[in-house]
Amino acid sequence: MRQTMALVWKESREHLWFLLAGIALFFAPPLYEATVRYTGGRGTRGIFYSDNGVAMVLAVGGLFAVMLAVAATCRDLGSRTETFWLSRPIGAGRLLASKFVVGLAVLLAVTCGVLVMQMAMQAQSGYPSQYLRDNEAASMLFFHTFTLTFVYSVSFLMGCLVRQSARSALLAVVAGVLVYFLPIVLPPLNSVSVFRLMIDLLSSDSSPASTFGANIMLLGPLLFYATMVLGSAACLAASIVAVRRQWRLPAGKKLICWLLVITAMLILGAGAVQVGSNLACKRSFEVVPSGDGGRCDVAEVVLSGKRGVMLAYPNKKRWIPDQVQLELCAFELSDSGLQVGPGVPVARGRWPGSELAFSHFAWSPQCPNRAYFLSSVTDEQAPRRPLKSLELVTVAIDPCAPGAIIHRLDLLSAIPVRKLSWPGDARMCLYEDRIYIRAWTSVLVIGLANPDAPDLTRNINVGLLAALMVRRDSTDRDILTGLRLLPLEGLPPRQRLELTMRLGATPGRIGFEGDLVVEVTWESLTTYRVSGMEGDIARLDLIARRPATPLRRMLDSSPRRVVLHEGLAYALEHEGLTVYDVRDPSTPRRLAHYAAGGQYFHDMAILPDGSIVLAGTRLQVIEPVKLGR
Amino acid sequence: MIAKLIWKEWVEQRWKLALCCVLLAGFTAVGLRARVVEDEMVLILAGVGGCLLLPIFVGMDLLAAERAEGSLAALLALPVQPWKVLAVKLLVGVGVIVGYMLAACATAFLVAGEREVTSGRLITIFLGCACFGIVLLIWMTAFGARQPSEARAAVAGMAVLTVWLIALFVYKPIAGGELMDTWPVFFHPACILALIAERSTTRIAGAISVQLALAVVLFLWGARRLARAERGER
Repeated sequence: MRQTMALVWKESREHLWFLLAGIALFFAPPLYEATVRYTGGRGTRGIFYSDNGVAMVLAVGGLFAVMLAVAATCRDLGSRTETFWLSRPIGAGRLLASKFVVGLAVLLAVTCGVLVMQMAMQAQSGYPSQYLRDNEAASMLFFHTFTLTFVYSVSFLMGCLVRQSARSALLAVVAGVLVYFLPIVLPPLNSVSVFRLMIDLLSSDSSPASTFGANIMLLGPLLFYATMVLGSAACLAASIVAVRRQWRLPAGKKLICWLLVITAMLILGAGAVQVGSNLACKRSFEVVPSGDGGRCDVAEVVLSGKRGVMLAYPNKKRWIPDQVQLELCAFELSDSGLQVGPGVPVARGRWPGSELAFSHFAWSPQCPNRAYFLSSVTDEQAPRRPLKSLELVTVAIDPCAPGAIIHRLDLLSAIPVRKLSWPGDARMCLYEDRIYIRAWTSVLVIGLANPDAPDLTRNINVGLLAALMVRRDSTDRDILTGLRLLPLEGLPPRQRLELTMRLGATPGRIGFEGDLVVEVTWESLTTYRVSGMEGDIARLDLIARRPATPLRRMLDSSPRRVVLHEGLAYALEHEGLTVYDVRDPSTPRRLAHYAAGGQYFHDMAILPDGSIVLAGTRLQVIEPVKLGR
Repeated sequence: MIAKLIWKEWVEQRWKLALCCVLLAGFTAVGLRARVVEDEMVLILAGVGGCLLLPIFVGMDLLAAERAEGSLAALLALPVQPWKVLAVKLLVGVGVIVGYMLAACATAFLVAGEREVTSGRLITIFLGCACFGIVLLIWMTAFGARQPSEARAAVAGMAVLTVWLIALFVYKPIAGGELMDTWPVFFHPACILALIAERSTTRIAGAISVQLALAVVLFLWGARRLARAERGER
């Protein structure tokens, strides 16, 4: 016992400098920032808070663990002092265990200390919680601490095997990179990914402590804890055996460099498989309407065969301006190229905001020279932006000749409540031979008997149902249990369901085809079957749920529109497209992805041959998805 | 004798060429294939990695490894002038830099073609980065000629980069807003990259001439330091 205490005392003396350096390195940045805030340096006088502690632990914690472990091992196992320790009556196990424990204590004291300090600052700051990263410090403490311990243990093993500080450190860095990033890029290892667990905790609505308590019994965290703890114990045991048996790893310079390169390529390659493109862009066009010559971004597109109509706005910038001039343009997309007709200005105002991907115009190939645009103008100066006008604008349109507005149908008088904030609250769709417009509490049915002068045929009061359209499971809010249908009497339930969805009563991330309903969010894809209609409710039965990989969740590729077409779910994201195979809804799988690399998309259309047209900063035609089975 | 020296250096350095080619071409291929960011951003990241980090990796054991292994004295005892030994080493180092930049450039052509970036722009990016990397290698070799180990030679390379960075920060307020319009900026290697972005042929030629003259001076100074250090050790 005295011998052990003596060894611990020796190690603590040798580790003292690391402890002091660690405290200076990890505690100084958050304390400095908190002091600046407290003294009002950033306009936040009186608030003593900083979230730099988390950043420091995440950025430097792993390297600090490597340094500690390599220094502890190579100091006494290097060629100069090894013979001295071999001549002493001290077991290798006792020597290494004391080194391991003291080094780990220093590591945990520094990294956990700075996280606890951040949580304490947060608790006393009185800062509104939404401005603080509430769960970050807690999630780091609960999960990242175990990863740090594992990285430290692996580095300790490397030090015992190589016994040269620089080379041990390089090998330990390779191992650390693999411990951190391999589980996130290789889906089978996702359950031991520290980043996945931290994202889960951060994305939960509950407080960190209660979420941790609720999750601790789940398989994921338990598997993670078991892997980290048992892995660390195994590394310590292997270190003792390696020193006792004089095992050496002949790590040459070339070997280490190649290991570093292979590791980097492995991580990059595996990550690219998950988030990178495997669909090719067949053709890419800049949208320039004939006549005015300026390039346009496309907000919405409707396409049938070669002809289509797009809602576009001139934009010379790389970002979306606050005010846009919306134009309807007919176009022809053929093998010879894209021909865009002259734009017909239909509205000027705020960007329509296609986050939920609702349509603002209608066009059908049955009447190819007419398009209908739902124009709504609000009083931007008045509070709550009351509606000034709501019109259905009929546009004569042609890809080869200038178009014009030929008719305006006033709809404002037909709706009882005029508190729309344009254009998000008014949606329309062309269904069979009618246009349906949902505007606040009304559904307006427009007859197209005379395509040049549509008329209002029905006005249905649907009430304040918008917030109640989607029914979710009471225990798991991510699961849908039903959809409330719009009260469109006279239509069969299936048509009501389709119209309800197309009028945007459900979020744009829900797609449907026949009985199949698919919801795609940034964290999962869920398939449902419409099992029956009960009055105004379409009942949905959960079929399967496919969680997104942690890497994709980190990149936050939340879809803005989902279209189901011939058993494939096309999820349009801001900078690309992901295609899922839901032909067997019980086993949905990710089939293909297209990343546009700097282009932004707002809408899409599927061509009869399976090619995908993406519309946004450019109009791109993507090759059809190859079906594997 | 020169041919034999070149062969010796090639045998010693070719693994670095292979490693850098795999790393840079692999990064370029994965980045351009994945399309997570714009093509130009991938090319710039590859170019920056190839002109900042890899020249230090290439240059750290041109002289220091020979010294650490004790073979430099034997090398300089050959009937060849020290500056020729240094020239051969630098020539092979430059070859390695040009080689991996060419590999990355060819990979970019094969994977992306001209879908976002024109061929001229692509070549310009890698050419500019290769020039910057070669300049860094020469500076690092000159200032690290007496370093006893690879780690310290690498530190010399990092120090050169740090001094360049500090020089930029110090000179920027002196020059005012129009930094690139002043002539002293031609002495800074970063002007090669900045002027390539400007696409001004005459100014690029001026900058390259100044950098070339500086490189010759540094090379001669480095050769002198090497010879003196070796005589001192003897």
